[in-house]
Amino acid sequence: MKAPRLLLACLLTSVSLQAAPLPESQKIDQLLSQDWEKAGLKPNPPASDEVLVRRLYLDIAGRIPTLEEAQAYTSSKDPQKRAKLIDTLLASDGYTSHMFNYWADVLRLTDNVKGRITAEAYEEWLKQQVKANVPYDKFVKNLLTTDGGVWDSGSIGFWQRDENKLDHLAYTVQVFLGTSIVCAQCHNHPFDKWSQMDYYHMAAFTYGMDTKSRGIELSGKRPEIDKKAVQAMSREEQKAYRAKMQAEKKAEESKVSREDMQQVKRAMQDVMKPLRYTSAEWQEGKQPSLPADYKYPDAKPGAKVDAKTMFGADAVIKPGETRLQAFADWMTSPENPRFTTVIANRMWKKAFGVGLIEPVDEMTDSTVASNPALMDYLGQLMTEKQYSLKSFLRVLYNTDTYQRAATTHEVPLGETYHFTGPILRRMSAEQIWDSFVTLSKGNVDDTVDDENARLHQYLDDLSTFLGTVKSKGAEGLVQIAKEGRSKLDANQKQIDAMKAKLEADKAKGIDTTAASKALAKEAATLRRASEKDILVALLGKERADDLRQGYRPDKPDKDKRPQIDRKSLESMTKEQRKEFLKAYQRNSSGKEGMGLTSRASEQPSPARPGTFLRTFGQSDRELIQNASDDASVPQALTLLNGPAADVINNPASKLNQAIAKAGSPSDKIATLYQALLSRAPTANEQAILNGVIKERGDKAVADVTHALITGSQFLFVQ
Amino acid sequence: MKALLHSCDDVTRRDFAKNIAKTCLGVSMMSALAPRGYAAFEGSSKAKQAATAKRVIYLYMSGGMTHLDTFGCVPGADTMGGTKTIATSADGVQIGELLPHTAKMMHRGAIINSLTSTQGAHAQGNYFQHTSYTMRGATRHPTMGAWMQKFQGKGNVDLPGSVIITSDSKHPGGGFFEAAYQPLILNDPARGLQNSHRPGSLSEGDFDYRLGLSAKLDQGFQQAYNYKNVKAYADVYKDAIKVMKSEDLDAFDLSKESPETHAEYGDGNFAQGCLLARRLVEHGVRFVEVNLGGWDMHQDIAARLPERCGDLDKALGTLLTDLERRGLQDDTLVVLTSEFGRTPKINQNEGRDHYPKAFSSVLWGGGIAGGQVYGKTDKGIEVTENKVGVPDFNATIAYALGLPLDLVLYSSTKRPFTVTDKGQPITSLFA
Repeated sequence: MKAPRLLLACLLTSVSLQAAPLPESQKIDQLLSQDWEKAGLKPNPPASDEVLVRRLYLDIAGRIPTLEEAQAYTSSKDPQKRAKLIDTLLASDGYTSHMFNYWADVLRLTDNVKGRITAEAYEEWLKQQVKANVPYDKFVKNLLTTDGGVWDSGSIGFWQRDENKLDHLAYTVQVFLGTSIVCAQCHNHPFDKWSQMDYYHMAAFTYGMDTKSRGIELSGKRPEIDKKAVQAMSREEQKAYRAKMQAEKKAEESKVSREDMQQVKRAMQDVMKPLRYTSAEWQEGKQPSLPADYKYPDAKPGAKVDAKTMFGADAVIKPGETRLQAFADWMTSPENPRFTTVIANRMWKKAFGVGLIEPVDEMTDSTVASNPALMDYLGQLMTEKQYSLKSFLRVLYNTDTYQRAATTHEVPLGETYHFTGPILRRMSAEQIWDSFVTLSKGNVDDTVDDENARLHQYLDDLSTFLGTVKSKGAEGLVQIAKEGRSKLDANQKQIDAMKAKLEADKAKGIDTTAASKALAKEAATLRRASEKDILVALLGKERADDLRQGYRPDKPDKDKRPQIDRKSLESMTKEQRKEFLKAYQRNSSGKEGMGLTSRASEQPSPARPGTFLRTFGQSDRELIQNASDDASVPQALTLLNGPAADVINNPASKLNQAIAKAGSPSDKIATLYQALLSRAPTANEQAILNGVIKERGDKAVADVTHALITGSQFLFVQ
Repeated sequence: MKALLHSCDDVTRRDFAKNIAKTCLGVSMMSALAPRGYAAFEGSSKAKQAATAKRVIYLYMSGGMTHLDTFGCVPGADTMGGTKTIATSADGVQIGELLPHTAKMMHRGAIINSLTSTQGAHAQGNYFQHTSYTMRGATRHPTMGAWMQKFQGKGNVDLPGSVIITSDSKHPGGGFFEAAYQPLILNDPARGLQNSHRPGSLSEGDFDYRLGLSAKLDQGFQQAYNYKNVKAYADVYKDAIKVMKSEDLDAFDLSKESPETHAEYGDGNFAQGCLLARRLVEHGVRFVEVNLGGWDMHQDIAARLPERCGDLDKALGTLLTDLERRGLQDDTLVVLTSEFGRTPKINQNEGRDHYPKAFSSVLWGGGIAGGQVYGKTDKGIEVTENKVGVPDFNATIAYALGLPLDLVLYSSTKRPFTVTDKGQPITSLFA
């Protein structure tokens, strides 16, 4: 047990605790110290500047500090330096990136399932909300009540996430009200009080959100049905009315032949495909019905269910308001018994590593916070700060307790944690990635993209296209299609001829595998060509080409490779230069490299399975907060043998440049420690390191680099 | 079932699930350990047998494999769309003409022609086929390889419990099970297990020196923080080194196969995947899935089929022969399945659309009585005999493995699940 004491003793030198500058922070410290006293506990010792600067950067900006940033903090004599750094980091784009990752995990943001356009617009929207620090209650209300096309707002991505609105309701309640009701979707909840009927009552609030429409109806105009009038009719009258409507519809359709319509649809197919999942339309009249296997006596299967809140006050629909707006008001009201507690507890967990209530999203009536007085105060603080998450977090980070050393032992499951300091946490996959980016490129926070120009241009095109299609109407479209008919027929003849030849060859016993493949390709091309003509007639060539091509997001940062220092390149021998450029190429891009050019928030969401981020536990975005911090063998293999080590050895990386500048091997290793761990080696470590330098000579620096990356310490936030 | 859930409190239930993971040594042991009350699950099958299969190679035809043109042929029917059938090594069994290699191995296989799914969309159908549960709510269900590892442990402690070879980014994997049960996912079989070899520029001596140094420099941190996860990192490095230095690491290395074998299996990810699957099961990995995409033929199906079927047939035929040659066929179950079939009617673009109502899958080896066809359809349109639901199909696989079909495990959300929900195995398929 000698080593830890030595390590701690060293970490604790020259530390003085700064009094929390904010009265709210002091209040929290006071509530905590009362709890420690009751439990007979002492708070953890204060953390050193070295530990704290690394923790603050990781917690707020989502990455380790650069050498210069850490240096600036530890050497500063300013008594206000901590409060100032907290403010700086909260105002940085690093915060936007890091918080975006947090919400992407909570809201299960995916950009590779369906509706790439909507997904990207949603990502952009979320970054903007975080950056602008939109109050949380307003943010949630925006999500719940949004509708229209994605060209109006990316927030409709929230509704597009789950096509089944019954499922979507369960997620919504779990995320924002911290309550798990999903069991009650199919039967009364076995462990909580919720009945299946409660579930359907809640679902009735959100069920009217239709996300299946494509913002465009490609059939003859449908006669409007006067529902009220129909209700007033007798049965015979209704029957007659229905027959009349059917006849009108048929008449309308006969003007437009089926075949022509099909052709228009085909022509539009490629354009229509991305149009799926691009809009959300609220339908006030749509209500859920109980499932066919509903087995409780309070209602019959198939019965329509009204909207009713599951707890707290009723959601009162004000005149001119939709049911959904009333629901959003109810949910985000400070009076809602769980809304405020959930977000206050989530943010507390973010700062200290454990919630006052665990898990954060499975609250029941019997849930009691580990420190009820503190939980109450945090709820109050959240409303006082008017749901500004930055203001709220600012209070937490400025507490005396936050700047204490991390607790050195794990809190056993089921035991109360008294928050004598933050707990030790493994970095998230994104924090690890972003820390490697920092080692490679330095601070790239300002490259976080919350303005997706490419996307907006496409959305404008799409919007115009929809306008044109709507104004032409079905008949106008078919007219255009008819003009393209002859071309289509000619192409079809060509396809038929090719087929006949193939059959003949086959009959002769010639191997036609390759020819078949060619035919399939040719047929597809010919079909598309005739469809293309229709689109061109409709939209003009340029726009038609653009739309047919579909949305092609730029490959992330293809050109943003690490800068090459020309001077050092010139000073190299020819051989060295060759090596350098090879390493540079390898690390910058391609299959072998990690592509450490931009932050995790700018990568596909989620990253592909098997890639670095996923290996380290990035959420697959299937479940709420599905990220994992478990250790695994592929993680170890990645750090032992993968490109991560190369990135650091890459001559073009910031770290390598800093090491090159340092003089003696001992200085180089000190630089390494500063860069990776934001601290100097302890006396114990220095003794080992001196041995390494002596024993290994030129290899020493590379050895220590590899050893530090593959040590667990780098991966944790102390 | 509700009464059952209320009869024990949460902790007991959770502990029970944990105990299963810990104490599970084998099936016979399991049933002895599991109290009867827990094991009962309303609707699930009580059928159990001594395992006839020790391992599974699961070939997944992603996109919806047309049944009428492959294994669900109805010779002479107007729904065949021009596809002819050929005789196979099994008496009276005919399959699509584009599968000549596979035809030679049908005396070892059983075709199921009466599968039916409730899911008509790719993602949902794929999930259902893999888990026996529909995709909904806040639970991710484990797939067969993970259940197998949970109940019966690994076949080779140095290697992953199950391996999935796919370029698809969505696979339910180990579902709600712990990280140790998650399958290893390989996107590119030719590249094997990524990062499993030390960098070429580094000598073994230097590598070992660094490992030692890393442990030394990490010691202070390891001792200062008494956290499970901190210790876990020290452990995974040991495991990683074990894999790296394991003789079985070769299992991932396709370059160890002769050029003749490579030529026999053919090129492409699926062929390489099948070859890798065979290597992995030989080295003790007990569940390997290989994915072949490109079956979603909404257009020009007749022109597309030769290439797709050609890729499948060459690799599959070779795999089956290879397994037989190596004496592995008897206790290796080879499964060929898909999320659904395709419409009996050819559409206006000369393709076939999604069709979950009736479709086909095939099982080879692993205790299956070969040369039979189970279930009938009316020209591929309706199941007319021996309808098989997706959970029933999966229950048949689990039954071959000797897994307990009625044993309940609880997810972290405390919901009860069994291997294949309420699936009933088709016991008559077994020899």
